[in-house]
Amino acid sequence: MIVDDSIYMRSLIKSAMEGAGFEVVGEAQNGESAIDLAVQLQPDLITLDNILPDMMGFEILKVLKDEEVPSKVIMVSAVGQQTVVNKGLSLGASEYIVKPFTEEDLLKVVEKVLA
Amino acid sequence: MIADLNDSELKVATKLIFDGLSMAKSSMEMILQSPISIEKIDYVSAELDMDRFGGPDQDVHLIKTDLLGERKGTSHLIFSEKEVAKLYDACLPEKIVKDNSKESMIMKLGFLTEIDNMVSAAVITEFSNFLNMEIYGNVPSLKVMKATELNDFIVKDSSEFESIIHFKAVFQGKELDICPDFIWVFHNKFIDKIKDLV
Repeated sequence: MIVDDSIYMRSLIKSAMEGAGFEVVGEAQNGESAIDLAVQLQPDLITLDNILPDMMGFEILKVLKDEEVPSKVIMVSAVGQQTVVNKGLSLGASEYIVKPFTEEDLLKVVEKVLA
Repeated sequence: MIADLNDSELKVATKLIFDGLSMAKSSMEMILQSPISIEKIDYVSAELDMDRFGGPDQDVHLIKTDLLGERKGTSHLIFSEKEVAKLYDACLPEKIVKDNSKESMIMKLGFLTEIDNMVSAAVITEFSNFLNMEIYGNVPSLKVMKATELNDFIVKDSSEFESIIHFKAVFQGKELDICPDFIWVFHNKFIDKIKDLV
């Protein structure tokens, strides 16, 4: 499942994932629909942007933990300061990718997280 | 104002700005898959050169990102209409570039805002790490306006800050033949943080 406010970025990640044989089961462009969809679909993996129009990815991580959603989460964000990366990882994200990234970078991390 | 800094503070500030812009340049190169250089950094005037937009009635695309967190500020990344067309041709699939459906238009504009998102974030990350501050870029917004409206828009947009520091960078991508302007406006309190560090 892909969470990003940018349709361009969702499309880029979806294309990379589908090209590598993964099925994208859902997409969300804001935090509220991301939480609804994650609880409902319980996907194997969520790529999660950190700055969304209605909330931060960090808040979504906390809700997913409270709701006991078992999905692995990779944060994919342009926000790249080390303190932010560490905070994401401490809140339960498996990995943190800083934009811009290559398709190869993304898939390497996805495979590592799903291994 | 940046002119209020003494020599050693100014040295730190200009290095920080240069490092931030260098990160932004690298991000832009990666997104556009083409070499980009920093053509000019202007700490005095944020006024834009109207000639490069091809005339006062030409559309320009301004993408704005507001800072969230410990300090206030805003960035403006500005492309001419011709540059936008070149970016689309170079970076998006042909079927999207040639299609004028609502979905394709949303994708094209989403591409522009995502460039700004990553380029602005590169500067913000450098500033945040160096100044040890929690600052983030909000979701970017795109405005299309006439070239003649641009300078007034930026002046008005900056007026919400009580006192400001600003800098303007001109990037250049020779292969793509683009030279976007990148203007930053900060609340003067950024200066206090730099003074504290020196």
